[in-house]
Parts: sequence; C-alpha cells; structure tokens
Amino acid sequence: MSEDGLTTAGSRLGMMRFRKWEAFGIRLLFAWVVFQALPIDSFGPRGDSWFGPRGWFGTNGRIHYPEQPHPVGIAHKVDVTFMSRDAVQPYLMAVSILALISYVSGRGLIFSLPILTAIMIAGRTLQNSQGFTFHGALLVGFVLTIQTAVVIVCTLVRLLKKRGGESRYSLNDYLIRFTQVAIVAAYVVSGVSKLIESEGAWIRDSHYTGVYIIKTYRQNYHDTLDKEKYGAEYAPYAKEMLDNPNRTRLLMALGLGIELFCFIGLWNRWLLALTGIAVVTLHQFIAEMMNLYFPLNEFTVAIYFINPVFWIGALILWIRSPKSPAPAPDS
Amino acid sequence: MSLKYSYQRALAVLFMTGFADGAKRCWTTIAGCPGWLKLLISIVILSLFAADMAPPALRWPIRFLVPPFAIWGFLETFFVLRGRSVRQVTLEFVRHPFVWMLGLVGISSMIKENYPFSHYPMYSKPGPVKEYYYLGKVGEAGETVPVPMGHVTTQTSAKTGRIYRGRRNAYLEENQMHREDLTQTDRERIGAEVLDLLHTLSEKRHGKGSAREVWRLVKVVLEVGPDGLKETPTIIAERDFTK
Repeated sequence: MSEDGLTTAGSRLGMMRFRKWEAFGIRLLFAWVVFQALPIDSFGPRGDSWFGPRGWFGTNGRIHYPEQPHPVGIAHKVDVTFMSRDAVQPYLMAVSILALISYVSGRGLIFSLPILTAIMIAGRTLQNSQGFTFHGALLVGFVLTIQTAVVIVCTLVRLLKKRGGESRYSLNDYLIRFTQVAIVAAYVVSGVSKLIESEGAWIRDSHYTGVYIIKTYRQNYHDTLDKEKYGAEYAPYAKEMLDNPNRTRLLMALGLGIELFCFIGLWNRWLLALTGIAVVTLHQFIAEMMNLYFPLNEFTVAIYFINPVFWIGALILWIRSPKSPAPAPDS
Repeated sequence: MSLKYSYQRALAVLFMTGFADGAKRCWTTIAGCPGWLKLLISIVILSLFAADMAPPALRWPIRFLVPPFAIWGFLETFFVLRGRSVRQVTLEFVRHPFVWMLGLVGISSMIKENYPFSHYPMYSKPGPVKEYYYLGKVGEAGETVPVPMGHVTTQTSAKTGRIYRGRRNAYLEENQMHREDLTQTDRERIGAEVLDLLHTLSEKRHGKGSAREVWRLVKVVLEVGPDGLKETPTIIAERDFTK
C-alpha cells in the first residue's frame, strides 16, 4: 500500500494527505461559510458586506436576545448576552475580519481559530439559550471547535517534540481530515439519535414524517399568512407519504442509511465525494419535502467531502501536463 | 479442601482438563475468527444489550467483556497487527481518525444540546399526533385572528413552539413536576412569558407601541387517523398589550 496513498501502512479509514493549494482553496471556501454564519452585525448597507452579500442563508447577523433565560453550554458559566450589545459589534467585526484573513492565509491559526470559535460559540450559545435550539449553524460551530482543538494539539506536540521527530503529516492534513471526521460524526450521531429516541421504531413509523411535513407547512403559513403558498389542507408530498407507508419507509430508510453509514466516505476521495453528493442530495430532499434548509451544512459538506478544489485542481494539472498521469485521487 | 478418594481426584482432574480443553477450544475459535466477524458479533450482542433484551445474568459479562472484544475485532479489521508492538498499535489506534469519529459520536450523544455539540434529536419520533403553536390577536368578535409571526415578531412558529416547550420543561424541572400535573394556570403563566418575549422582540423590530393589541398563544394538535386529518386548537395564554 502506498505510503503517500489514502490508506497509510496498516490503517484504513485513516489519515490522508492534502496538497498546499488544495488546503488553501478549502480554507478560502470554508472561511466564506464561517463569514456567513458568524453571529455578528452585517457590514455595509442592507446586509451587504465587502466580501459579498450576507444573509443568503438567513443565519447571519447579530443575535438580538437581551437575556439567556435557559442557558445551554458555556452560558451556564458565562454571561454571553454581551453578544447582543451595540457597543461590542464594531470590535467583533474587526476581530472577525482579521481572524478570517489569518485563517485563509494559514498563518497564525493558533490565534485566529480560537477567536472565530469563541465568537461563534458565544453568539450561538446566546441564541440557543432562549429555550429552543437552532440547528442551522451547529455543524459550522462544531467544525470550528474541532479545528481549534487540532491546531492546539498539533502546536503543543510540535513544541514538546524533540528535534528530528518530524510528523509524516502536516497541520493542514490533520485540520482537513479531522474536519471530515467531525462532519461524519455529526451525521452518524443524528442517525443514532433517531434509533435511540424512537426506541428502534423509526423506520416502522417513518411514514408519519408526513405529519411532520403538514406541521411545518402550517407553521410556515403562520409565519407568513401566505394562503396561496401554504393554504392547502395537505402539504405537498404529505398525503402521498401517509397513503403509501411502505414506499415512504423505503425512502426514509435510505436517508437514515446515508446518515448512519456516511463514515464509509472516509475510505478514499472517490467515496468521500460520493458520500458528499449523497448527503447534499439528502438535504435537498429534506428542503423540498419539509421546507427545512441547512445551507451552511450543505456548503460545509460540499467543501470538505465533494472537495471541488481538489477535482478542479487535478483536472487543471492533468490538462497542463497531458503526458504525465493525473495525480492519483487518493494522494 | 482435600480430596480423600482417588476417584474424586480423578474426577477433578478430568473436570479440570475438560474445562481447560473446552476453554482452549473456545479461545482458539474466538481468536481465530476474522476481525469483521468479531466486530459483527459484538455489535449484535451490544444492540441486544442496549435494547434491554439480555438476560440479567449475562449483563455483567456483556458490559465488561464485549467492548474489548469489539475493539479487538476493530483492530484486526482495520489495522495490521502482526509484527507490530502493542505500543505501536495502541498509538495508531488512539490517533486513528475513525476512532476519533466514534469518540465524537459518543461525546455528542452524552453532551446533547449544548452548543457546539448536539445529538440532533429533531424528527426522531415520528408519530400520528403532533402539535404546533401560533400567535394570534383577538378580533372584533373575540375570535383569534392569526398574525404573520415571522414578520411581526421575528420569531417563527417553529421557534415559538420550541421556546414554549423549552420553558415548560424548565418549569417542570424546577418544580419537580410531571407534564400531566401541569394546570391551566401553569400553562397560562408560561404562555404569557412567551407572549411577553414575542412582544419585546416585535417592538425591537418595529418600534415601541407598534403592537398595541391583545395577543394569544394558540396550540394546535394535529392528528392523522383513519378519518383523515384532524386539528384541535387550544388557547394557551392571552396578554393585553393595548395599554
């Protein structure tokens, strides 16, 4: 087995190497996603910013809650309501921009990643301390947390290691690989929760997802009072799901399977890209049927799993040097 | 204990050799089966254990013996064990991304809904009965007229439902009560808190005095049965914001 390959000597689903240009491209794209998800004020007029419009995902902007009546996470120990204050917004914006520039450049990650993670966690914790949970920005926060942990551990190991004890993998390799691991873990835990919470009856009862769809449809009606769009008795797909339980069970079991077994994507780049496409398609299905949108998750999965940076880069390299073979997709 | 008679000694020796031989055969079979089979057997046994289907006498061995057996199977499946020291294999195991993935799944399941961790429990209990909440204002004839919540309060119906349920659960926990013990007064009190929050957020968006109305928080129970779809609305709380 190739030392440079995906499955390093003796281990499968293990570490992987990434090229410098690939790591830069991934950081650039993910920085844009983080920028969209940061819980701070928008820049410029009407939510537009220097880096393009914000608010495409409906997840950006300052968290306005003045209190944290039902604390979760760090809010048990820290008062995070400062995230809603006017006075701190300019500072948060300035610090975030500097941290994002540092993140994209790959320099000073030991400072920029903890800063971005802290801002993200403080803001979203305030949002989730109101008695409900907003799941739209969870994956980005989770990924940032894991990346921070990786950069801290790698820096400590480098400081403590004796000279000559160079690691086979770079910080970029660990950052990207462990981000993929974190994303897989988030989807697997979602599948596991479905089985645990329903006491194993999720697939049997999954045709009742039609009731969830009707519920979301009614909720959307009450958000907008748009009778044309949400005025019918049954939401689209709901009646078909309730009337055809077995076909629905099959479809929902497929979705659950994607969540539970997406770790297979860690095997190599091809499977990773296929898993990424499957997960994004799953999100598109959920969006179409239930009007539940997770654009931040979709973009994060697309960047780290489908990894267009690598495939486009590999194609360009292949076109530029037609005589030499394209870089192996698993290197 | 001493064994007096020779036949007792003979029986004991026979029993011990038999036992030792049996144990050796068992061990050889277990150790000889491929890693993936070890992993599969462990998963099946642990699933039965998780589903509370294991007999009480077997719970102790399952709890302590099956997880190491599963790790063994995992190591054999995904690692090259032969010719490598225990230290090497242990280090590789601890550093292995897949092991971290399993660890993160475990940590997220334990920490639950504490940002940035979550066990993603939404849509995990599909059933024929669901409920949702909406905001209404009192009309001229005393009827409830729905209000476009997203625009007026910045909070969606889904979020409002989660806020109400979250506060209700916190109230139950605080007073060490069960959901069935909640009185109409309790519900009204929690609902009024939610209406206050919605009103504050509405005034923050549209300016002070922008919503001088009587607001109601309404719960609708949605039920699918053989007769089709049934919806039952109930007024949870009412707050007068006209003054």
